[in-house]
Amino acid sequence: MDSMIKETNENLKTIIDTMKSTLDSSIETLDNIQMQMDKKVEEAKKYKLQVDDAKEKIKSLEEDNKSLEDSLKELNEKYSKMNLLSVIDAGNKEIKSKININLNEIAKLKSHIADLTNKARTIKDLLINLKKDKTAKEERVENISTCYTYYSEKIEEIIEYANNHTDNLIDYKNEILNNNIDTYDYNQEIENTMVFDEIANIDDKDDFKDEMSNIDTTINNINEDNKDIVNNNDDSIDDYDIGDFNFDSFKNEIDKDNDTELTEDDNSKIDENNNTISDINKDVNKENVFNNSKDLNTNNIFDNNIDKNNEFTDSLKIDNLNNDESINSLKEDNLSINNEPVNNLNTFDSKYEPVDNLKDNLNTFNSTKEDDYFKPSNISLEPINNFNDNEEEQRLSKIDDLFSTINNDNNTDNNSKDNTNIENKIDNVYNDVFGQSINEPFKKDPTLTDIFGNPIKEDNLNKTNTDTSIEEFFTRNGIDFKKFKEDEQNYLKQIYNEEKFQKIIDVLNKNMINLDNVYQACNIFGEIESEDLDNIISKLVNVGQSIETIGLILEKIPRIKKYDLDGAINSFGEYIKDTDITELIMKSKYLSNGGNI
Amino acid sequence: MEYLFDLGFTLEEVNKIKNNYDKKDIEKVEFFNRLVKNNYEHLKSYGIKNIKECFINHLKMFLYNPDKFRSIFNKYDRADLVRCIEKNDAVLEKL
Repeated sequence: MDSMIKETNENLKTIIDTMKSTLDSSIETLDNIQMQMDKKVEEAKKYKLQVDDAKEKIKSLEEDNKSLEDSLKELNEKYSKMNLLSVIDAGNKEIKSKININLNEIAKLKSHIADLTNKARTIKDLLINLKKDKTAKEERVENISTCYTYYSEKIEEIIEYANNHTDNLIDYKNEILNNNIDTYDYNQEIENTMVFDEIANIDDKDDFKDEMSNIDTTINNINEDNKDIVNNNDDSIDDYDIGDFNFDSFKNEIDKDNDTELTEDDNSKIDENNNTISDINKDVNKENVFNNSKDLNTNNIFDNNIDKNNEFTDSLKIDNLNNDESINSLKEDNLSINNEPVNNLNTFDSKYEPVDNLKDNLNTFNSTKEDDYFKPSNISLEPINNFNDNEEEQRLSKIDDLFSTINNDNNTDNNSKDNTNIENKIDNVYNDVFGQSINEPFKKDPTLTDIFGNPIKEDNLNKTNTDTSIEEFFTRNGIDFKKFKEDEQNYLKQIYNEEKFQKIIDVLNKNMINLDNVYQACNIFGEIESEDLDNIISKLVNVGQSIETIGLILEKIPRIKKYDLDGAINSFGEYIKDTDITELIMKSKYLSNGGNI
Repeated sequence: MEYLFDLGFTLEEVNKIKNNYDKKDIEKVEFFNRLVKNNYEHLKSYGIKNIKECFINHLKMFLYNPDKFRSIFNKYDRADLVRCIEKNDAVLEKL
C-alpha cells in the first residue's frame, strides 16, 4: 500500500510540477514579450529624439539659408549701384555655395527623418503584434494560474491525506458514506412543494381579496349569461322533435297518468324519487357539464312542497330534458347536426349515467318506449365528422367497438361467455391496429412510420447515422476521419455525399496522390467536382509536376480553373517543364482574379 | 505566416522576412505553406544549425518543387554540405 500511495503521490506531484513549469514558462514568455515591447518603445523614443534633432537642424539650416539669401540680395543691391560686378559675382558664388551646402544637408536630414519614420512604423506594427501576443499570453497565464492554484491545493490535500492514512486509507470510503448519511436532512422541505405554501400565503396579501372579488364578479356574469342561454334552450327544447320522440306528447302522457289520484304510497314514492333526482341533480351540478343545472334546480318542484303532481311533471320534464346534459348531445347526435369533436365523446359516459339512474326511478310511474332513447346502446356513439374515411379514425373506432363489445358481453352473457372469446376479440382488434397478434413478442425492429402511418424512407433514417456512416466511409477508403480537425469534421459531415466523396477519392487513387494529403485538403470534397479535379491533376502531371508536389498543393486546386491553368501553361511555353508548381498556380490565380490570391 | 511560428521562428524573424521580401514572395510563402514547410523540414533533417538564417536569406529556394529542392542537396556529400552551409549560408545559391 505504501509503495502504491508513494507512486500515486509522485504521479500527482508530477501533474502539479508540469503545471507549474508550464505556468513559469508562460510567465517567462510573457515577460520576454513585455521586455521586447519595452525595448521597442525605447527604440522608438530614440528615433523620435533623432527626428526632433533633425527637424531642429533643418530649421536652423533653413534660417541660415534665409539670412544668406537676404545677404545676397543686399550685396546685389549695394554693389550693383557701384558697378562692381566682379565683387558681386564672387559674393554670389560664395553665398550660393553655402546655401547649396545647407540645402544638401537639409535633404540628408529629411532622408534621415524618412528612414527613422519608416523604422518607427515598423516598430509600431511590431508593437501591435506584440500587444496581441501579450494579450493572448496573459489570458493563457491567467487560465494556467487558476488551474494551478486549484489543482495544486486539491492535489496537495489528497497527497497529505494519503500520506497520513497509509494504513487505513480504506476508512476514507466509509467516512464518505457516513458523511453522506449524516448530512442528509430528512426534515428538509421538498423544494417543488413550496408553491403550495406560497399559494396559502397569497390571501394575506391586500390585493388578493380584490383579485378574488373580480374573479367572483366575472363568474357571476358568466352564470347570468349561461342562465339566458339555458332558458332559451328550454323554450326551444319544449317544442323540439327528436326523431320519433315528441316531448309534448311525452308531457301529455305523463300529465294523463298524473290525472289519476295518487295514493299515499305513490306520494311517498314520488318523494323518494324526488330525493333521488335531487341527489342526481347535485351530482350533475358538481360535474357542471352544462353549467346551467344550478339555475334549473331553483325551478325544481321537488324542493318546494307545492302541488307535487303537476309540478312534478314539469320538473320531470326539466330534469329529464335539461338537467341532463346528454339531452342536447342526444338531440344533436340523432339529428346529425353537430360535428362534435371526438374528444367530447369521452365525457359521454358521465353524461348518460345520471339519465340512466333517473330513468330507473321513473319506471315507477311510467315506462315508455321513449325511455329507450336514454339507453346508451341506442345513442349513436359515432360522431358525424369528416374523419370517418380516415384510416386512423377507423382504428380508433375499432378500439371503441372492442370495448363496447366487451361491455355488452359482460352485461348480457356474464356467466356464459368465457374469457377466451374476449381474448380473441381483443387479439383481432390489436392485430388490426398494430399489425400483429397480442400474443406475439413486440418486434424489436419495427418498420418506422410517420404520423400518417407511412413508412419512413431509409434515407431519412440514415441522416441520423451520418456520423457513423461518414466514419465508416473514410475508414473503408483508408482514411482516418478522426485525423481531420474538429471543425473540418463538422464541415465534412455537413456536405457528406457518399457518391461524390467516393468519386473524389477515386480520382486521387487513380492519380496515385497520397491520401494523407486529404487531412490538409478536406475542401476538395466540397469545393470541386471530381471531373474537374481529375482534369486539373492530369494537366499538372502532363506538364511534369510530380504527384508528390501536386499532393502538397491539393487544397489549392479548387481555387484554380481549368482554362486559367491552360492559359498559365501556355504562357510558360517551352519552359513549362522547368517551372515550379508555385509559379504555375500563381499564374493561374493571376489569370483567374487579376493577381489577387 | 502563422505556420512559421510552428517551425520555431520568432516574431522578430517573421517580421524580418516580411521586411526583406516583396509582397508577392510573402504571398507565395503564405499560400503554399505545406510545400514550404515540406522543403524546410527536409533541409532541417540534414541537421543544419543555421537553418533559420538559410530560410530568411534564401526564402525563394523553399518555394521550389520538393523533388527539385531535394535533388539540389542530394548531389553533395551531406556532412560536407552541412559544414559549408553552416560556414556561410550564401553557398545555398551556388549549389
